[in-house]
Order: sequence, then C-alpha cells, then structure tokens
Amino acid sequence: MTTVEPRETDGQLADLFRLHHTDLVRLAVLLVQDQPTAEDAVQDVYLKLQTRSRVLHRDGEDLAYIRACVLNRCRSVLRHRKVVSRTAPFIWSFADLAVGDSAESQAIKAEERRQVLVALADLPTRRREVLVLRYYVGLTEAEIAKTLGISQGSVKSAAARGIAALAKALGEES
Amino acid sequence: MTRTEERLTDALAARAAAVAADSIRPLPAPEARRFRHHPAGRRWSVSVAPLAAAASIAAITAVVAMLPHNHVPGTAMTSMPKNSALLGVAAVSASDAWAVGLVVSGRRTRPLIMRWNGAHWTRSPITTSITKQQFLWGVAAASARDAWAVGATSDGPYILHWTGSTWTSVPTPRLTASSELSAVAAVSANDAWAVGVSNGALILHWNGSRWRDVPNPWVGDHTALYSVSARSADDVWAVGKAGSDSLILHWNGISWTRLGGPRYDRYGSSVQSVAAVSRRLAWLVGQAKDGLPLILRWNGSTLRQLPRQNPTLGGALIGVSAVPAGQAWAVGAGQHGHSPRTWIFRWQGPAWLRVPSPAWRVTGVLRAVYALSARNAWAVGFAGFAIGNRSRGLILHWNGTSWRAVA
Repeated sequence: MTTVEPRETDGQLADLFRLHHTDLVRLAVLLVQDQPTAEDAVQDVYLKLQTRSRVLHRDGEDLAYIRACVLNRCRSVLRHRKVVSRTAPFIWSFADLAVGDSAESQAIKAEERRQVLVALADLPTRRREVLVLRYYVGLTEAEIAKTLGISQGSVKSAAARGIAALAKALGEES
Repeated sequence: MTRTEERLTDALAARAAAVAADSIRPLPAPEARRFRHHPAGRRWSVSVAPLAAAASIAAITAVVAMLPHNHVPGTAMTSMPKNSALLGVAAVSASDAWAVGLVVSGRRTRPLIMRWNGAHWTRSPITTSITKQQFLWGVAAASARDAWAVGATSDGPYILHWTGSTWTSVPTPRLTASSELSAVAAVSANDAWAVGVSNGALILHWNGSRWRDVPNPWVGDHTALYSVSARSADDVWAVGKAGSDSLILHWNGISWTRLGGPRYDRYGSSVQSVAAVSRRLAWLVGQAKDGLPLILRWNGSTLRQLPRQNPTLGGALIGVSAVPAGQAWAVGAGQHGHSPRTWIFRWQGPAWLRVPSPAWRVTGVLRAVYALSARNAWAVGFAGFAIGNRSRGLILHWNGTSWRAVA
C-alpha cells in the first residue's frame, strides 16, 4: 500500500526519536503509570531501534511506527509486572495531579482526575491504549487502527466499550 | 463530547503535563550506536547501565547518609539485592524474624526470604523452579519451627513452609494463573489462613496436613483480599476490596461474614491491612476515597473511622500491627511532591500520630510492620518508586526509643 521514498537513514530515526522523546515518555506514563518505568520502556525502544536499519517513510508513518514500538514495549512491561498490579492504583494516587494543597477546588479536581486514571488503569490493555491514543494523542480511528495493527471496527468498539466502562466506574451517563 | 470523554481528556492531559520535560532521564548519547554489537549482547550494558547504576548508587548513598551510626547493637548494615522489595514481615522472638518479597532479575521475578538471627539479616536459600515467575507477599510464623510464606507463581498460588531447617513449597488448591495469595496468618501448627485473589476473594485454610479452598460468595473482577489477621480459632479478620467498596470479613469459627455493607462505603475502596488485638479491638488501615490515610477501629460491636490528625497529608497506610499491651504501629507512604515517602504512625493513647521515619529522605514505601513487643518491632518495604523497578528492600527496626534502618 505505502509508497516508500527510500532514504539513507542511519541516525534519522534516532533524531526523530529524540525530537519526540518527551511526548513518548508521556505516552508511556499514561500506559504504565509511573515515570521511571515509562522512561525505561522508551529507552528500551530507542536502543532497539538503533540497531535496526529501517527505511524511513514519510514522517507521519515513522512516528506512528515509533509509537507502535513504545506501545508494544509498554504492553510487555505490563504483562511482565503482574506483580506490581496491587500497587498500581496506589502509584496513581501519587501522580502529581494536585496543584496546590490549600485550595479546596484544586484538591477536588485532583481527586476527580485520580478517579478517572484509576478507572482507566482497570481497563483491559487494548481499550486503554485506544483511549489514550484517541483522547491524549488525538489520533483518528484510522490512525489508531494503523498504529495498533487492528481494524477500524475494533478501534471503534474498543473506544465505545472503554468509554462505557469509564462512565460506569465514574457513575456517569456516558 | 460526553462528560466522560471530557473528564478523560482533562485527566490524561493533566497526568502527561505532570511529567516535566526536564525531569525525564535523557536518552543515551547517539555515540552509543557504535556499541550496538557489544559482545555481551545485553542492551543495558551499553550506555544505560551506567545511568541506572548511578541513580541506584545515589539512592543508596542517600539511605546510608541519613543512618545513625549505631544501628541495632552488633549489626552492620545489610545490603539488599538490586531490584528487590520486601513486602511482608513476621517475628517469633527477638532473635528470630522473617521478611519476604522478591527480586527482579532480567525478565524473571524471584522470591526473596531474609532471616534475622538476633544479630544479622541474611538471605535464606529457597529451592525454586527456574522457569516460573515467583514472588512472595506475606509471611507468618506459628513457632520457630513452623512458618509460612505466600505469594504467587505464573501458575497460581505459591506457598512455602518452614519446618525448622528449610523452606519447601507445598501443594496449593486453585492452581490457576489468575490466582494469587497476598497474606497469611497462623494461629497454631494446625490452623492457618491464607488470603488473596482468584476471580474474586480467595480464602485458603491449613488444617495441619493440607491447604483447603474455603469457598466464599465474594466473586468478581475487582474483588480481592489483601490482608488477614488471626487471633484465635474463632477470631480471624480479612480485608480487601469488592468492586469500588471495601471488603471486611470476619471468621467466628464457623463461617465468614461480611461487615457493614453500604454504610461502610464512605471508607473507600482501599482497606489494605488488619490487625486483630482482642475480642474488642482490631485495627484496619488503608487509604480513604479522598486520598488521605484511613484508620478504622473495631470496638467489639462497630467499626469507626478515626479522626485524622492532618487532613492535608495525602497517602496510604499499607500495614498495621499491634501488641496486646496496647501499642500499635501502622506503616505506608505519604505523598511528597512527585514521589512516595515512607510513613510510620504510632497509636498513642487517644490518637494515631506520625513519628519520624529514618528513611524519610528517600523515595520509598513501607509495606508491612510486625510488633513483637513495646520495645521490638520490624517494618519492611522498599526504596524506589515501584516494586522491582530499581527498588531495594528496606528494613527498619524499633528498639523502644527510635526507628532505625538496618537494610
């Protein structure tokens, strides 16, 4: 499908990676919850990509490829650390969501956000990934389908079910 | 956009924004590329390893720096393995205590058992299968020659028995991958309880010859038991969560019954630990729905939430232990900017007060505490953000006057 414009690449993928490093760590944080693990996952992908010679495509696709690698790595981190599952909600509660500790409205806001993130962490991995790509990265259904290597129909249903589960957990009408 | 979508977008943006760009560990320099065919073949051996090592060394130096010079008499600082965490602790006497947890090594999670002989903490050998992930959450000792450690392997519940000379694995019911044990309590050589999760609450009982599955009605995806405390054959408590509610159970010698119901909802979903002291006193601790520490007291007929000392301090209590004389300890972690810091609370007469933790300066979490007497208590946990992720096991000791770090 994709028309490739081959380029000599050594280092360009790495440069692109460096350019988006902060965003990639943030994406990973939303999936694995704590920053040190997210940093590890992203560095892991970076080191792996350096040893791989890949023909670069158009920019958007390269970024999608890097994101897909980060998502894969996060998924295997999550699988691997079933052991941390008990502490996960606990770690969420330390996310620096409270801006001040005196203003009551801030505290309430922080707690509301924490509840959303806890509910998100309880979702199956695929649904969580779709929601993060849709509502944080802002990708379209087609782009999400491509990134995750699934059909648009699956993206649609994962998003709908994910939102419905969040609404239920938060006691809202979705 | 629906209300849920708006809340999700807002929460994701806020969480992402909390990751400050300058707080992110930088990528290794591009020059690292020339090491890509490093003979060792291990990716972390290239350029990340020194960074990671530097971070751990900094953390260890910080721990050591704040230690008082005289530790528990006659002991040197015990060094804990890299990527370790201690999750449970129990003591039989002043010269006999156990701490259990895990060590992550590469892609494997291994069980960790530490033993206190009155002078030193040393690592206890365990015969383990190399192919499985294994870890331990809890430990309990009925006597010097009878102790239990529980946790999980990739196949299901994991139970080790100490009979005076070795830890050996014993057969367990509910051997399915989704089953895990989180805590154990021993009344006598033929009466012990282990609790955990298995598509709902998991309750196992030891009758002296084998572990039996005790069927219970608390099933569901987000239902689990975290802690158990057994005072006698007819007074056992177990706590955990059922959906978004707390799950508080009591065994009266005949059956398990759930306390409360809807009116306990306000206590939040996170009751993490229980300590039964007498027929008329039990302590339950955790984290309330508002993110503040939670302490409940059972007075023989009702559970009451205790007033909070400092309502602005966010955090959770994860372990609690009490001696019959009245002294009680609760440990956990409080929020300190971006990271958790160890917390120690002490029951003093009419109130729980936070006392200084010797590990307060490092990022870390205390997971369990065991009070042997008014002058002797152990608390364990880990230094670091998350279990196994560049963490190190932490052991603190109370000598009657102050808490000191010994590992």
